[in-house]
Amino acid sequence: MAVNQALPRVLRTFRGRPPDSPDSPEVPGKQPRPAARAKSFVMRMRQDSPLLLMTAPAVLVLLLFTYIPLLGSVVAFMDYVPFLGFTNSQWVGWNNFTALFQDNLFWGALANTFEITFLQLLLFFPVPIMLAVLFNSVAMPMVKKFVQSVIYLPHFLSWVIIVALFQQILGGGGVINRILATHGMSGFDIMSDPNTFQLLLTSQAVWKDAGWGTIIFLAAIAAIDPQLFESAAMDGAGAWRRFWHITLPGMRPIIILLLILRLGDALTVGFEQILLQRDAVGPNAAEVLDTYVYFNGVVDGNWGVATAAGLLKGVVSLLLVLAANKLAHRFGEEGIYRR
Amino acid sequence: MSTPNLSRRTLFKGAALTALSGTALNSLTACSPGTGGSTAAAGKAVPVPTYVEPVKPKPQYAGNAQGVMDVYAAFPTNGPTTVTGGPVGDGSDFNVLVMTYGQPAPPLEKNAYWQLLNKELNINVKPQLVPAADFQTKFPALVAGNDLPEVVSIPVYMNVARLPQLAEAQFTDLSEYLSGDAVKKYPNLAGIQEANWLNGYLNGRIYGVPKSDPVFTSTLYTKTDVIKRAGGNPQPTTLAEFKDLAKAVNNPKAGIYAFCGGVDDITFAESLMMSFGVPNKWTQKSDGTFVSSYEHEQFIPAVAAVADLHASGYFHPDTATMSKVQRDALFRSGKLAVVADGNRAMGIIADDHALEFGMIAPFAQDGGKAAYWQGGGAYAITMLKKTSDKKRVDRFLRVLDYIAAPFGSHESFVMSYGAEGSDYTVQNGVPVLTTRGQREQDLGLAYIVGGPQVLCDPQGAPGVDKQYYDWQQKAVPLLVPNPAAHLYSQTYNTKGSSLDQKMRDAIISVFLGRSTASSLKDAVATWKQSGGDQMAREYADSLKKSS
Amino acid sequence: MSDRPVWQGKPRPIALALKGLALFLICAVVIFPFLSVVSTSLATKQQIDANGGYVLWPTSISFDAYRQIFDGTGVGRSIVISLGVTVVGTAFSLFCTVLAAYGLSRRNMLFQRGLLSFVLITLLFAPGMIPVYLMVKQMQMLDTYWALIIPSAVSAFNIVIVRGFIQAIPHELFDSARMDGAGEWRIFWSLVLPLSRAVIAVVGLFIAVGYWNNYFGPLLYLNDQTKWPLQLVMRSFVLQNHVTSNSSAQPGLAAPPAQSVQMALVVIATLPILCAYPFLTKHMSKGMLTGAIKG
Repeated sequence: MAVNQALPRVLRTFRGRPPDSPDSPEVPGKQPRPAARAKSFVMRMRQDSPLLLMTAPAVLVLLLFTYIPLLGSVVAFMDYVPFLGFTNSQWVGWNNFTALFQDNLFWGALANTFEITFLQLLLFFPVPIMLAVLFNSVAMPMVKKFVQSVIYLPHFLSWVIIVALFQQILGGGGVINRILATHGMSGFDIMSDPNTFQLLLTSQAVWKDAGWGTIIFLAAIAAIDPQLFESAAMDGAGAWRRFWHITLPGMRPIIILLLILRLGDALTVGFEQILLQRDAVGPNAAEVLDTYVYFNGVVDGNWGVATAAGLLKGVVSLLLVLAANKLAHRFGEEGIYRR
Repeated sequence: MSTPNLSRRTLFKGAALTALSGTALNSLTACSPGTGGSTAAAGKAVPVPTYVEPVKPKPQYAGNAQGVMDVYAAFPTNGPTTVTGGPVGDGSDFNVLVMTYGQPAPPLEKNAYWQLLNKELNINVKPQLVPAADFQTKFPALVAGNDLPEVVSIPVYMNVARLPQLAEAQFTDLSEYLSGDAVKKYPNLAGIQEANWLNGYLNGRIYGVPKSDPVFTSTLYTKTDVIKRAGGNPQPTTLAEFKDLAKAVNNPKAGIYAFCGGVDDITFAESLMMSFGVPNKWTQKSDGTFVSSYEHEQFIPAVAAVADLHASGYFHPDTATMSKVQRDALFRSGKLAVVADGNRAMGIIADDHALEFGMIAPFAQDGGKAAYWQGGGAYAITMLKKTSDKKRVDRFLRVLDYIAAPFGSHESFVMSYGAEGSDYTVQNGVPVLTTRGQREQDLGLAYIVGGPQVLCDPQGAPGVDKQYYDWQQKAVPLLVPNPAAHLYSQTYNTKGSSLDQKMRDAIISVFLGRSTASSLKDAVATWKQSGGDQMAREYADSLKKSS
Repeated sequence: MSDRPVWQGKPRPIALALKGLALFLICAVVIFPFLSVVSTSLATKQQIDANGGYVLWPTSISFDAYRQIFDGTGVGRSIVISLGVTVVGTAFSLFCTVLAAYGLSRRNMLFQRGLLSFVLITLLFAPGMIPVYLMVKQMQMLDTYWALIIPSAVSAFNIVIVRGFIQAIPHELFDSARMDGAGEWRIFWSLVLPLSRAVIAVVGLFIAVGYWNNYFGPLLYLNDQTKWPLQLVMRSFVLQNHVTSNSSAQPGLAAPPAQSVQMALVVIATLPILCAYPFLTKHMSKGMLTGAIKG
């Protein structure tokens, strides 16, 4: 079928950065927009109706279960009491927001959150990419399959178990310290050292989720045309150059995409994981936005403050994503969104 | 990625909350014979339901009215029937919301216990069980959706926001059915004591029927065999002796540590606060004003003493991250000598016949008179959705009357043992619960209503009940109640948990040596300023109104 | 045995050894925690206590924990429920996700910008728990399995990922399909779907795991305990034990489940995913163009 005939051309164009979109310019060159604009609305409606129909189910679900409930975010401006409902709860203006802004602990938690996010972007984010490249380079199918089927296992263990296991191995009374002690060496206690707590969190996160994260990058590598490697190899490119000129560029759009998505989540760092270990290092080191809101709003059923914090997170994420997206465009990437 | 709303992240809420309220069951939600700044006409509280002592079999060791529990060797199998006057229910559904620590019970068609209960009560029990860890998540949603079932049981320590106002809006005022002599129509409910009933008061009226709780809060459990082997004294009577005990058993090289906090480090610290004579949350001065225990002169020295024990290396190094599972395992295997836990831990430890353990009687740091904080009196209160149908109210109270039947009665036997054969077997004249029987009982009904509890664990390790009884004899004379336990403070209700958390953070920070003891001064000042002082005023107010 | 492509030269032995060592370490580190969970589920109480909660290697093996789990706890039924919800949910969610991703990848579609923003904003702003609960109630979904499936079916994250992969499909393919007179549905079926097999497998896995692991929806929307899926039942086993014991001892108040039972549940809850994964990897590792040739 048509697809097959198109193949040779694909091979020529699919080198390096993939084209922007599956849209086909009607004439060669980039000018579909004016042409499209010229068409009447009714005509476009008719022409695009299958596409609109395709997006309809998702849009409907989001409308019903995200957008309409989002209207409930008005409680950010209320002293919301569940049995009084949205209509009878008291309006408090910006009080819930000022309560946050006037609290030093809030700013401390925000700073910690950004630090941890930054650390994780630096130390966690690249790990799945490297792992995916490593796994992909394995030539023996048995080994490859085995590695791929076990790498994501820790993802399915809850934080309760992960933290307990970490403690059992690395804790002050853990296996390693006991061995050190029996050999007369002084121990260490990384589980309760506030100075290294953020590194501890990051390493736990890597342990739990780096393997899970490789899955998507493996798919991205698989999507690269193998013939590109072949012709590069024939041109005499070594493994390193093939990685640098083919593998990495092939993965780049998805890497950038995930990076932007992670930035959109910048204010969310492992709530459960931190809650379990917060006492060991204290709130100065461990309080993040989510735990702060939990202890200052949720525990007292203070929905207003919790919702206000949620909205703030949304706004900050929006700014981060827009900035990152713009940056991506500077570097000629598609990013998450393009005008 | 998704940015789930925070309210979704409540996985550990229950756990965290409970840990935080470790022994602080006394810091009650909203229970006041007085009134808390609600819309209700503030008036004098209605009279407490008249107490009629239940008929009970002769105990092996007799308890007392102050809170020592009766001990029985076995459950009488042919006790008297206490609920009379025809069938209890009317055959209709009995929808009840209960918080549970248990696991889902087998479904009705495979559950002999449940079937028997339905038959006995002549109702169709439909429990809606909410896991303890998720109660604070699920409850507000049910309230917002107006989806609470007809009967709702709320654990008292779950600081349910605006409970008095909620009760007034959505639950039945039971005062006319229960206050004073009216309660005598339900003899088993009349067997519930005043301290328990006070928990069911909201805005000076009776909205909830209580499930009574022992007066005891937390305890220091000892691994006696480990202590004896190390030549320590398992019953220290002063702080110095307590330290000697720690010194004797502590052996990090062998992986043995004297203490561990675990999920509830604060519980351990609270035990020492009691030894230092720190009052139970609040004290009332002669002029009627309330003073927080944080302001007591021994509060900071007590925390400093815990910090000192920690600095001496007597605590397991992972005390702060240790989960309860791990801590209990270490205790059972002799790697920990002393742990602090709530009074139910007794029951759990007692199941292990091979385990040698003891309990440290409350001691004063200087050998004088110790303080032992008294619990608030009730584990939960059970309420009925608003109805003016007197028959509905009567049915509700009759069902509760059945469930509240005292130890030794026929009803209590059915509740505890279920159906012969599938739930229990009789061995040497003693009913023995099967594993299946235990599982079938997880309907939560045991948690919703009841009078004084007794100690009767024929399947547990022998001698344990007696040991606990002896400990109770020593603790009861030292009980210190919380004068604010049954008073309402709007500030506590809406900000209490977060304020408590900040104090908890401050205490743990000193405990683990991150801050000096003097830093607690600032923490207390902040606490007072951001709500503590207001609470004191509200408690005084609430007390004035009710009396 | 090796399926190294002919064009790829033989790696130097030292590089090979290093790579092998790295892989071995990674696998060890990853398998170890799970092995410990499996070991603990098979260990006796004494062993678990002696090891402080988690056994790294059991000295004797006991299947008591598994036997207990399947004795009247409703775990068996909850597994069936979880499987059902996961299968139906994943199908529905993939349906919404992939279709929307394709639609939104078409830059000159009418309303494309508006619709894309509409989807993307949900990445940043999430509604509160109570409003969603009220909506589910309004839709008459309380105490039905639909409440577990539909509200969480569409995630902007997944749409964005699938869209990213679809955008990477060379546009020449679309051109020639259109020249052949193929309509949008036809293009979707015979071009987008086969070429997106890898990403559909990946996102399908994300979605399935999401459904499988979801305890929050069931907690909120299901009052009837007999409808509880595995994760919620498991939660009642695992989390309850972390709560301070505060109520008095009395017959009938069962002790919390043993650690071995909790770990056995974790094993049981992970097995289905373990079994399903190899089928997915088959699709994931298939290159896009190999797919195209076959399609």
